[in-house]
Amino acid sequence: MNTTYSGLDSSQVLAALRDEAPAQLSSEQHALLLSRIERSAAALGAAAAAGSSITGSNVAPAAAESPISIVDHLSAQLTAHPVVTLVTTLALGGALGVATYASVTSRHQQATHRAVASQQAVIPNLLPSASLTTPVTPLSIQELPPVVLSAQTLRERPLVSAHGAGAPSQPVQAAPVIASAQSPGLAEQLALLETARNAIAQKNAAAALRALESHAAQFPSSALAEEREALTIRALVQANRVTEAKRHLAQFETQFPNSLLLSALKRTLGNSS
Amino acid sequence: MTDLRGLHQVTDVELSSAASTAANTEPVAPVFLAVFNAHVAYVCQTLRRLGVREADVEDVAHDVFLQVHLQLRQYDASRPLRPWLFAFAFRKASEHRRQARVRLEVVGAADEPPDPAPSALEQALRQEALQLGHRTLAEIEFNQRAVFVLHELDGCAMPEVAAVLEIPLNTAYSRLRLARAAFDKAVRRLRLQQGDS
Repeated sequence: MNTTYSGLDSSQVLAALRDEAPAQLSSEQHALLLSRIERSAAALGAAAAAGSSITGSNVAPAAAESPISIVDHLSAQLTAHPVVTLVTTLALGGALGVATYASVTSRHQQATHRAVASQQAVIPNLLPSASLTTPVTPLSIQELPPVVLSAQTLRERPLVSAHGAGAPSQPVQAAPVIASAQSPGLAEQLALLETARNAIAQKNAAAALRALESHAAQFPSSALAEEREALTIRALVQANRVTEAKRHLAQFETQFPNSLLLSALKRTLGNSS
Repeated sequence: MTDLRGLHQVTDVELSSAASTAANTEPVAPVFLAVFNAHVAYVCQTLRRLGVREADVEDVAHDVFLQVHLQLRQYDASRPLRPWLFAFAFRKASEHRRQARVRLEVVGAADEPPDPAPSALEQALRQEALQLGHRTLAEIEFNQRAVFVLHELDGCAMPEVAAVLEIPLNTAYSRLRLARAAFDKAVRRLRLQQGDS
């Protein structure tokens, strides 16, 4: 670098920083981030819903987060908090769910896990079954770390559960605790959708569509349909099959009018046409 | 890239009204989307300024917006939105720092400035100043830097800064003073360093 900062003083440097426009995300990044958030929020909504009856009145003060680490937080919760106790109970009770989850996890372990190992040691017991209780949204394996975070939030923001927030697509119904046992071929479903997601990320629309069609054929009315349809639309756009993508989008809009994915999908289509 | 800005930029005013009408009954999704679309770039920029490495920005932004999603109903529409978002970014950046694996700070160089081509020289100078600015920011202590960024770069009034960061006003002023001193000092030092090489 041949820069010579010699001509610059503090005020010029400050002015440059002030004037710097925030870098915009590409529409792809934008959509991916949004869908990650949606899935985390939905997983969280389900977990919170499970605990709402207990903590509904325990409203936390606004925007106050204690600066202790997540791990400390969780260990404290493990001994102290009724929600976690409940969730833990569900987790242990839903042994089948955990087993299913474990089989999926091992297949996707290499995915983008961000949580430090010590956190993971605490969490997996708690969250999978809680997440699987939602009839609405899939738990993507990639979403584990955010869910870790959510356990923390669970304690602090029980308010949310009262509104069923975080369940953008459909109202969270009383979560069927044994959903994990009832969801047919959950591991297989997750694997198919994960395959599709990876294929899309690698710009292999054909492979993605194969996986998605297979899912649609085997599990037409699955709880993961929203996820599947969103992926289908992305894959169709990627394959330049815009007319079909539009048709799917119209169906999607009817079926999931409140989906958080909707605007991102529209944008994806808008950019392609 | 830039298409998003035109299409999805929503002003604080619109959002404020959206948030207040959402009250406690409406679904949070539409308001959240508006906030996300309008401010995701700002949040990412703030995270970078607070020292989150480029590779981690998206992950931390995810955590920020997840929290925003959860607490959207607690947003007080009479207050400006960006400082409110800054508070989330600050907390998540702070958590992120505490994780042992994130010790080394590399403030990512920003993308090209999007201004319509000024003269090449001007552009080069600006780029240079910006690069120096990022390196300088990275040298300011984290808590002081938060005050500095919010006040000096985002133009947020000091009482608001103190409120958002949940610190006494005097503390905020004290941090600002220290941050300004550190900023000047770092600019001088980096300038010399660069001059020597």
